[in-house]
Amino acid sequence: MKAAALVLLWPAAAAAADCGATLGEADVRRIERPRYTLAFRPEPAEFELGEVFRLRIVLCGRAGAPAPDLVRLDAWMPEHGHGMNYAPLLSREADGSWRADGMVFHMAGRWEITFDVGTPSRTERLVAEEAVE
Amino acid sequence: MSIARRRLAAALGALVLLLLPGPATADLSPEERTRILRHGPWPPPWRPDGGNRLSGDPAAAALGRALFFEPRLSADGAVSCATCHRPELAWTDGRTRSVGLAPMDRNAPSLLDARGRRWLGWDGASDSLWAASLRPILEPGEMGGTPGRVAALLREDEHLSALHRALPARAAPEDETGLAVDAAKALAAFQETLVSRRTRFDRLRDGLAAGRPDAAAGYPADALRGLRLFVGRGNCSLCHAGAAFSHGEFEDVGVGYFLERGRVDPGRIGGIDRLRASPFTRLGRWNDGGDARPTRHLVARHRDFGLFRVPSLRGVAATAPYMHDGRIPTLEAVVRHYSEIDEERLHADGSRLVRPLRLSAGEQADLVAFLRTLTPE
Ligand code: HEC
Ligand code: HEC
Ligand SMILES: [Cu+2]
Repeated sequence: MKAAALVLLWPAAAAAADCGATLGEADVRRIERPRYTLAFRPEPAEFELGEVFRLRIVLCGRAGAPAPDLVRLDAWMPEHGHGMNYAPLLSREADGSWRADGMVFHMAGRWEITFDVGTPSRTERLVAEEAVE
Repeated sequence: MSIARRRLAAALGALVLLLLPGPATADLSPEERTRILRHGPWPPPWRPDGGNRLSGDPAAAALGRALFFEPRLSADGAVSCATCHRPELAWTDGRTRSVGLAPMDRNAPSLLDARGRRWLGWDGASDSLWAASLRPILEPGEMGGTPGRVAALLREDEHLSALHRALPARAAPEDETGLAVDAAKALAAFQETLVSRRTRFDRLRDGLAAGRPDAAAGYPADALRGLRLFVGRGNCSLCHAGAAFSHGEFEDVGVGYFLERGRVDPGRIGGIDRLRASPFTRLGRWNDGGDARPTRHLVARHRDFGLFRVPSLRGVAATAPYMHDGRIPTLEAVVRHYSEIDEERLHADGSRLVRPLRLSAGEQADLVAFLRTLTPE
């Protein structure tokens, strides 16, 4: 029943807090914008130094707006001025969500994940901060 | 017990604590403790390499051991793996740069703990221990062998072919390349048994983890000061991270990449090229399985030029000389290098991970004393 309701609501009208409910109960991060919400969850849920992980990402429109596309995704350490040594591969799932495979945080400290959201010609950058021990 | 006796017992207890040999760990901050704990436990749990179906197999390790000391793998019949990886020299050759059939550009690393590495070679040109074991056999200036030569040994030499027949699963097809790959996988199974022993540092670290007040008993006071520098102001743990004291990736610490006569060692950028040109990777048909994602997602960037793999520091006191080209003779000189690092030499654009630390003579000695506790006595 719940799944059916989600399908009906998604993607245009899901409330911000529900965005990414399909990603799981815990560890879902959300970035709210006036017209859409980006929700993502790492797999495995904990960032382990040097281990390969993937992100699952959902974009939901708000206030009647359509959900934008995820155009690009990357990560870097702002204090050190370097990024990852691996290129994430972005792909789209059948349910409209996204996944980014093959990411590695190879150094402990503060990482920023950047999501370029919109259309290939016009994107807005969202930034999520993560700490790696 | 009377009150007087109890007082006496307490006083004696305090005296015992005072007399315990070794520095106190009480003044380590919680942050320092956390950072120190991340350098263990040792040894780490081991999982067989899914890319090598002979991984962890004792029969394969027996064949691998025989092949490791076998000079007939080389073109002139005189160079074996043990020429450059000598057991009595912590599996190095003690030279600045190795000499096989021809002089090489790099220093021979120890093979201890090689089983835990994602990238092998100073430039990470191999993505598995078995591929890193095939490369030296086939490299013209190193052993100059061929798959045919390896195959002939496994087929015709009585002792080696008996060891080969004892393998649980042999190559299919048993053509020359298949047999050479099997030999490399057996060499890998042998090297998987080379694990460095626990050290004084590990005893300190595990004592801290267990919350023992006498964790530092027997640990030298100068080494403890050096450890605090290592995880603190020295910033060494950033790259020399985790239980293996390496994050396993590639960095620039201003050692330089010029060889004689204007030649350069391109480091990681060349390693990525060599990896991609090789049929013997985790993406190739000779690999048996396992996790190929790092190889698949690897990117080459301009900044990879002149980067070298962060070496493990376990056992480091036994593996002089140091750095990818062996240009630094002693640990004292390595620490001096970090103290006085020439920022002009740092070429990787953007990142600033090392700066001249300007350590006092005492601090340099402390850091060296710490590094020595990473080597079993
Ligand atoms: C002529 C000297 C020489 C011979 C012979 C030699 N090696 Fe090496 N070995 C080296 C050098 C030098 C390096 C570093 C190479 C590089 O960075 O590209 C190395 C690197 C390695 C590595 C990577 C270690 C690491 O931590 O990255 C392995 C594994 C290895 N050798 C195994 C072997 C095996 C097995 C043999 C025999 C089949 C062998 N070597 C023969 C000199 C030698
Ligand atoms: C930016 C990352 C980074 C930092 C920070 C760093 N190192 Fe290194 N270290 C490396 C790399 C890379 C090499 C190999 C360089 C080469 O061969 O050109 C190395 C080599 C060494 C070696 C030689 C090991 C061998 O087997 O040849 C020692 C010892 C060492 N570092 C100790 C330290 C100490 C002590 C500190 C802190 C003062 C430190 N490192 C900080 C990356 C780093
Ligand atoms: Cu960094």
